[in-house]
Amino acid sequence: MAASREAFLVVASLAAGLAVGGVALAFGGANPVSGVYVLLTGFTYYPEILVVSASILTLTGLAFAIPLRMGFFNIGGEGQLYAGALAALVVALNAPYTPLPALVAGLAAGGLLGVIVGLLRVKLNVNEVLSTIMLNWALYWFTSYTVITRLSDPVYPHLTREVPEPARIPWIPSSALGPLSDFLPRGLPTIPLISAAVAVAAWFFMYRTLPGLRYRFAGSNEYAARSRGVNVDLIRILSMAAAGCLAGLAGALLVLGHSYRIDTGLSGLSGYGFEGIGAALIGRNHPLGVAAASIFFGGLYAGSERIQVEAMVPAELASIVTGVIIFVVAALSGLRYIAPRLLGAAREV
Amino acid sequence: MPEILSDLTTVAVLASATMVPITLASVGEIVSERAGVVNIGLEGIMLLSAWASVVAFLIGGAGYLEAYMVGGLLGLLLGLLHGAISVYLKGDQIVTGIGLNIFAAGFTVLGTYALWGTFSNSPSFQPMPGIAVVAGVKVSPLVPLSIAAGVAAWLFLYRTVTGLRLRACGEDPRSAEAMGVNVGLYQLAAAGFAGLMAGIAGAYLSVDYQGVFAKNMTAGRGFIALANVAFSGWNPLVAVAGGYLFGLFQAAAISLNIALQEEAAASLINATPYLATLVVVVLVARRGFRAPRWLGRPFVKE
Repeated sequence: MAASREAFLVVASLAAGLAVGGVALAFGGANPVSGVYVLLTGFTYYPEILVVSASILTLTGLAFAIPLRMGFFNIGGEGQLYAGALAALVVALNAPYTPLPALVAGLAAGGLLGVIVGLLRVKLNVNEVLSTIMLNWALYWFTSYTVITRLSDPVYPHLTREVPEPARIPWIPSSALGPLSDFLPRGLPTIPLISAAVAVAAWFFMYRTLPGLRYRFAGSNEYAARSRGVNVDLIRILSMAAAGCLAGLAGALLVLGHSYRIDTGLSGLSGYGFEGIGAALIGRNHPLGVAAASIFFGGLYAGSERIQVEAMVPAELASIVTGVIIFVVAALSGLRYIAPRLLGAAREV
Repeated sequence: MPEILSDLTTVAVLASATMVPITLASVGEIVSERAGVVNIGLEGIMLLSAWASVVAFLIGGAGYLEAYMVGGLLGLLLGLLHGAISVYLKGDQIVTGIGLNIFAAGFTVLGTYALWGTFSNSPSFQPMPGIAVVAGVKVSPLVPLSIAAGVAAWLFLYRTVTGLRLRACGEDPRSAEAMGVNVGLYQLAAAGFAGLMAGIAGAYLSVDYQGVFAKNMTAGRGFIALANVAFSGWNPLVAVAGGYLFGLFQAAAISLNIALQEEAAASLINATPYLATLVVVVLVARRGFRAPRWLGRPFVKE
């Protein structure tokens, strides 16, 4: 494989993203050089944002990367995450004993959406980019509706009631963190451990098991797989189901392990689904690569919060950088066609 | 009874306004997809153009027409950029569009903050005055123009040699090339046209329809336009009718919200145009329209 080309793709797109970020900083009235420096190092002020966003992006990134191997563009991470968060919150408020049922509910809600999208594509030939985008918006408004009408806190009407203590995912106390305790005085959320376990499990499944091999085979050569008796349609639907479960789990983890509430504008939930696509592309759709890229983007999130404080430039700067990174990845992805020998790449068609 | 009738008329007139951005973007995208280039960044182009035309109007001192031109020009440039990446760099067309959408969402917020000091919206202004059509009902000149654009695109695609050649690029670029058609140039121009139309659609939203730039004001219209492209079976005339249908969903939601005046119900009603769009696409999918054969795939010459 053309490892050097992949590396070039990643480095070039990250550099382009940060360069445009610098231009945007200048446009916003800040010094671009020190601004980019703050963007990259600001996570030390907000380690919690880094840890939580990296974990959530790993899951939404996998939710994009896994079905992509089967030719699915799952742009529905947003909606699947909302559904997971909402289902988890509803269960946690009604059965506040342990977080487990709420986690399962979130997983199932996202998975159900994934199955719907998969079935629509396989059985009715409905393009998944369209169905997922429409479901994203429908779920945004439905979640907002449920938050306002059914779950709102009597004291803070724009927020839902809080997940009760027993249904929360516990944190690792600061005292158990040793040298890291200075950075994380409130302790460490357990979310990253769950999400790291999921990423490793996804890697193990795809690269170390027979069904995983079959999965990669079906994705790389559909016709050969069909002629060998592999049920490609079923694998397609399952890949979307798995993606939905992952994004749903991400939503459940956010609510049960971090925010404990949802707000009417869904500001604590929105963005992760789309930005996960960036993590998947930079991570080259490899589970461990996705996790590594998510840590980078999590740092970018945290850094952009710092930028807002230090330079008064909106934290949306992170979206600009992410957008450019994705754009450049796409623009350079055709290198294998136009310059097959560039950067040591073998000719592949 | 007459009250219901007048309500229905109000919704029908409002739908003529909500159809414009969807129709314009759909017509442009049909031409582009007929040539083989898909652009799911329509949403982002619309949003950037909506923002840029308000900047031209409020800060650059441009008139309505110039603001439209700024929006259209920005759309054209972005469409050409997308086209060049698709055609000459053989880049991934879907992923480029995703990047463009995320960039636009971030950039317009940052730009709004840099210029007006708020995260959410520009100062509002008097939207472009409409022109009178039947019975004193005033609509934007873009309403008849968007319908005309659909008709013109149909005539171009099906009644001119250039249109035939363009369709050949999306169906079988190899044969088109063998017949002496410059496939790359056709695809680039078609992608530029899609960007131009999405840019005009964006300018319409901010300068003409609402008289303000608001964060994420396109609200999925670029994607609804993509849905409409599939709904129309890649036929610009059907896309005009489809644009009106999708506009009607939105107009109905807006009218219901005004009538009910209730925040909670509004959220639920806001969800319906998207679900209705999905249902329509599902129903159409069964009819089995076929996309241009070479849609979205890079054409690599031997």
